[in-house]
Amino acid sequence: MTGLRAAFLLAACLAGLAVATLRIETDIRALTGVEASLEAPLDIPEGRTLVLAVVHPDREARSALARAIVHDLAGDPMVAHASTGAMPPPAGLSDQLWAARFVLAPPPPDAFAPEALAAEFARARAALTSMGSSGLAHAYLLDPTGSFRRLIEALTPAAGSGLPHHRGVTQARDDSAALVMITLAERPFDAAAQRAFDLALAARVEAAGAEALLVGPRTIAARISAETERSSTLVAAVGGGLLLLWLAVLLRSAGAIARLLLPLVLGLACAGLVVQAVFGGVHVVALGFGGALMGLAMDYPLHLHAHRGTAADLARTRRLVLLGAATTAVAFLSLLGAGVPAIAQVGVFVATGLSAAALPTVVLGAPGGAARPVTTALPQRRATRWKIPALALLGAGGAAAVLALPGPGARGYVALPPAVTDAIAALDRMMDLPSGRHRIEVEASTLAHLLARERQVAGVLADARAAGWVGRAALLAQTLPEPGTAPLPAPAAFAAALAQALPRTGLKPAFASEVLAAYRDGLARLEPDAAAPGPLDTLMGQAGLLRVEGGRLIASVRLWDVAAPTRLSDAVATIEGARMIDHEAALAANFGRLTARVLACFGVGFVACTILLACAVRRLRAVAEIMVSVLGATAVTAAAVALAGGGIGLFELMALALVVGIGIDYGIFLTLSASDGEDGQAVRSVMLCAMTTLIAFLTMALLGSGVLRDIGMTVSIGVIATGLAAHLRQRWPLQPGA
Amino acid sequence: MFGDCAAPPPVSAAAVLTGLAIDPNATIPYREEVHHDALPAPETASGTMHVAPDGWLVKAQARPRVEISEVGEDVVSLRDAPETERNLLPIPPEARPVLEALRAVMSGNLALLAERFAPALVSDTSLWRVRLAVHQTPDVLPVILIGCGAVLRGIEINEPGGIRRLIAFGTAR
Repeated sequence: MTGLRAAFLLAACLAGLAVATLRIETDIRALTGVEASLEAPLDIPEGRTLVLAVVHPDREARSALARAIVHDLAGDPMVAHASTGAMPPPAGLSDQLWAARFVLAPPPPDAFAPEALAAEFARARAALTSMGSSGLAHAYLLDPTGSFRRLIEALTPAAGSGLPHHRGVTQARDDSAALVMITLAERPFDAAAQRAFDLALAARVEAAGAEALLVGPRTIAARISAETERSSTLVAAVGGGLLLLWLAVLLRSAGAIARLLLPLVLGLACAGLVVQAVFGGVHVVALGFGGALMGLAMDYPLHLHAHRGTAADLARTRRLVLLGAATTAVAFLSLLGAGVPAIAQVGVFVATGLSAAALPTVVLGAPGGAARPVTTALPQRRATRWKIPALALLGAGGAAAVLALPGPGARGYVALPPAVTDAIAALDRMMDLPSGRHRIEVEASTLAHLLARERQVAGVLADARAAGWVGRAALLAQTLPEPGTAPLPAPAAFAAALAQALPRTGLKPAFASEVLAAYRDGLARLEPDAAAPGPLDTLMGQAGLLRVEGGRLIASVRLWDVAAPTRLSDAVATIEGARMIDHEAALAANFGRLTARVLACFGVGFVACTILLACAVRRLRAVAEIMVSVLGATAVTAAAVALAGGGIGLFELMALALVVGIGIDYGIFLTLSASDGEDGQAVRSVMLCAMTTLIAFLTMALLGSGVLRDIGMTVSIGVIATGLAAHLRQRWPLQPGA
Repeated sequence: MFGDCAAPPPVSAAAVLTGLAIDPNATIPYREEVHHDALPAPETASGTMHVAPDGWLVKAQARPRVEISEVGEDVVSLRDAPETERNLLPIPPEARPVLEALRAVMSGNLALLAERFAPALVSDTSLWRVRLAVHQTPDVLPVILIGCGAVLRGIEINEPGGIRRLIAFGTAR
């Protein structure tokens, strides 16, 4: 078996092993590292909500369909809870409310007057013959302070959505749709599974002749993910086809094309397997970025192909290929210091992949068969004195422009496709959605403390509304009755008032002892309550008003029409345990921190790469020329991208890292040429590589969407910039004695 | 409250349910007594009941005050006059079996009663009483059907806190 056959066999085996064993991770927490706020939008209860609008002109038909869908969803593992609107109270809720009635709805002092107690007994008697009090009437009789009744009456509207309903099914405000409220199961977000669930749900509605409108954070994320996948497939198909066409024109042999692709396949397979061995899986971010960056591996056989003229030239090219791969690998290994699993995986993926691609390249030699004489002469490159100063100046200007421009913020991370924004706008017309960007969180260890803080927030919100900073707000304290401020009377005082009230009600006097015992029991539960999850928390969690995290109660205040978020945030910050959340700003800040950290790593990597190059080449002027060219061209690229797109974010930064890798590679070949002949071959090989890279990344820029388009544009501009910068030659003053 | 009965006593709950004649389309007058230890005399109410074509049970109370309650699968809709805005009350899980049994009785869905609520004959006198176990423990707060021969005369519903509702139907049912 020849070495080439053995290499193909090895590549096939490794690729097969990788396809069979690689475990692709999609958990977004691997990208956020220690920063947890990124996961919040999809993992908190609000992130798991989903609204299905069943749009149909016939109210009866759409309501029946909504009800049938809720029935169908009952056993679906993707769904924790689904309802046609009115939330059923959790089991045991009335017991919890009864026990905590004096905490949640303390009676005002005048509720203890004998007349007031008698009036409340009369209400309780009347409630005995009302279906609305079914199951609660006995508790109403036992609590003549009215605390429990007021609590139930306050919470009942909160269980509804404030929207019209038909036969128990919530309807859109414009009477166009029946609404189904779904809480998705508490499981890690899986874009493919979510998309499949959404499509099946929409198909179920459409099969019944209605139109489905689905809006929820996970649904939106899954839709964006699916659109990115579609776009990637298109880019891969068109870009791959064009690349094959280009290689066919260039190499004119299927065998040579296969040989050219062999190092890339070996590199990708090795990279995937090594990352899996080190990290226990391969994150989709590492696969995506690593795969794109591995495109650099195609340059290695192309260099050999262009330099296959003489054995000496080929031997020198092999050394330069190894040097190029080593410098890029060192630069990317610096990402291990980012402290973010997915980004560290990108570093290991690229470093391993490029090394694994470079080795077989130099061992197997040039693809494309025997060398043919060069028939076209390229103009000699002229050396200039101003290359380094000009590039340094351009680079400094580019860097200053990037620093002066505002960052990308959350652009690219939260930009929604038009179809999604249309769906959100339509649902907003139907049910007046709260702000998806801003909310207030209030945290406390006990329900009593939480309500006290929420009431302070309510005061701030009232002022904010008056100042026009915010429209309306929904908070837990608002749904509860206005509390009394005075301490509750002692049992003896209550017993005395009860003794006066009871004879006026027609109730048996013996009942007083039961009422008094219930009052004593209520007083005994006035102590701060533990923040253990209970039915009330479940109910409020379903309403998006309350959740329990690590023994702390966290209430969420929903906001509408936030006009002055900064002022509102400052006002809320004065209340202990309360803070305003801006999801978009938090996301942008998180990615900003991540980008800064990755940039610092690349800085360290660049220095290491420079040292490695200097040690290997031992020509400081050449190394300086290569690195200044790379930095200048990259800074100009960054400035162009920042001006066109609005800032350099994480994705653009990773693309710029590829530009640096490419630039060093081009620089090594063009700057280290020892003679005019070598230089001509180097220009040829760099042009071949640049054309190949441009075909792939221009396709991405023109046909890709979102992140793909940004990466494609960044690399395309960068390849042209670094190619031009490397093509210039620096004329150095003669050294003494030279 | 449920009157005398001259029909022969039934032999089993199954025999009672098999023989019951219930017209699901009829509007039935009723009288309700609510008993509680604190009350010297029961509270009373009256009105009509019927099952709507979509399966909702409509209880139209006329006295002591007008209250129209419509019972669906998971919500009760309340209003104090036909034209007023409805107040929607979600049914808590504890109350769901009771209301489900009530809807099944009034709509004549006796097969559902037999399947879900383990009917048991608790009084085999002429005025029979069939217990429906609406809780996991059959004797806790049961719903009891009361009748004579093939006619359902009334229903007893037991609630927490010692409240006992006796509903007597005013027509041959």
